Amino acid sequence: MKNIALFALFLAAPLTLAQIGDTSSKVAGPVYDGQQLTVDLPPQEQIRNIGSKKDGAGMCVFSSIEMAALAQGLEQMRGWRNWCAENYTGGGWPARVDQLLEAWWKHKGIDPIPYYQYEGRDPEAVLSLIDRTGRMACITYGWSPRYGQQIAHMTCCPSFRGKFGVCLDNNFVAKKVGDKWVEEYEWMDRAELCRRTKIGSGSAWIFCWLTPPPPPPARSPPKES
Amino acid sequence: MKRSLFFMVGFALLTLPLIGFSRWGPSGCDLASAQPAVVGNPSFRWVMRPDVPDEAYLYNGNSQVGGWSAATQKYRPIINGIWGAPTDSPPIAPPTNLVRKEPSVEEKGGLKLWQLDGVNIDKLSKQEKHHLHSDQGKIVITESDIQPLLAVLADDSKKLWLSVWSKDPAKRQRVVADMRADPALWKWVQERCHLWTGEAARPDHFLEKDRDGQPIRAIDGDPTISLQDSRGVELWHDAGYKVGAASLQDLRKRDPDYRPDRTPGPGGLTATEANVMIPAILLGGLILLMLPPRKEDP
Repeated sequence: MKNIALFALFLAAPLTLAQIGDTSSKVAGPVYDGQQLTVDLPPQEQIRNIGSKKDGAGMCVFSSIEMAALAQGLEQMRGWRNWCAENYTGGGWPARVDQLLEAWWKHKGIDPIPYYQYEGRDPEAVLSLIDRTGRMACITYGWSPRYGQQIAHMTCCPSFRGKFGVCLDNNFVAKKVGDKWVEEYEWMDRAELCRRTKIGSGSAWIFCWLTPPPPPPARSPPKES
Repeated sequence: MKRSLFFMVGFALLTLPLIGFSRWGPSGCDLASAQPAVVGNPSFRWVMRPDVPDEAYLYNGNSQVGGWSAATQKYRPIINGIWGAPTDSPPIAPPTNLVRKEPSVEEKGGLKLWQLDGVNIDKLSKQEKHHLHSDQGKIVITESDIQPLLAVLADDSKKLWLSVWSKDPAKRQRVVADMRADPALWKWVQERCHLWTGEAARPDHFLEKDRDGQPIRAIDGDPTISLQDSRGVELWHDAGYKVGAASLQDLRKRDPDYRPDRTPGPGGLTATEANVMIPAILLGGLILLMLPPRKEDP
């Protein structure tokens, strides 16, 4: 009997290991382990994080949201991050995003653009839905081996399907080496990405534009029209 | 007895990497440190591994109770088998012969504090919140479940793409105006299509090119109008819009779900047509039923 109990314990150990999951991540290009990004923002359109001209605080929230806008063809949002950095202090949270988007639309005299924000402990269903509809999410990001410490950061999530969740970090956007672009997407298990969105506050924050993503590349043009 | 010992050793070997010898990252656990008094206690000792030269593991007898990283200069206790929050002060001074691996330039040298804390996490809600902002700029729904979002995006993924490309915004807007002029057609556009006519609907826009700068579709007229299904298959392609608004009726019929009697638009049966057609079909069926059966050949 005792042996059976010990044997059960022996079998349980690998299960425990499996439950912990893979907390590692791999920096790679837009294709990794046979998987492609859902939203492929070209290197030259990726926006590097800056500090506010007002107080020096980080503009990662606004950099991420503008990148997601460009990926959805929202050209009217181009320049928003820089405008915010010129006129406002840095740092972001959901209500502040509402405020600065409204201010931009008023400043530019353009119509508001529909968007969505989520705060909570269960980001997986939301991220899956955003990916399924071909959009890019902006996500809180609390840790990465790149930093080696806890951070309070916002990044983009250009893919959340199959095996991987992917982070496009505005502190590590594509850089040109010679005449080639080197891209640095961070690929990880989807569960690990969800975990990283919650580190720090215990709550994930997701932003997504609700306008349509760009049309897919054309296939099989009709023979008659 | 020997067998029990074998299982116990096996179990210990399997679970040891969970705490003692795994390189540690944040566990997401904010448990308060509850270390027993260790200063001067001889049962506490540091253990090092040659293959992880920048970490040391604190043991109380045979149990690991924490770990020290020379790279981050942080100590983390293990409380009930779980890594606790990192602190600056280990219970006893860590070994001095640890290799302090310098972070790479990319990891540390180029990063400033402002790059690490651009989100005010204390202002994030601990409760589930979904905010949907309409194109009027107002929050239309704030609820604690995903249903409102599903209602918007789930249907969205099945929509067709109706695109109008031109360098000239006025040409794109002219086609949109023709669509709007026909309420039934406009209803179909809104219900069934993603309409792509914004500033990015230009042949030279980056979204219209692949990574090698090659066009991802044929934009061979000004404007070019295209209807695509959700996989990208082109159902309609009009280079130049030479026929004008009348062509939009044919375009609508390329909707794979097109039903003359159900799809909104002028191609559907009008009430008058239905009044004539339905009795005619019924009458035809009745006549067919009344025809004498065909004689079999002998």
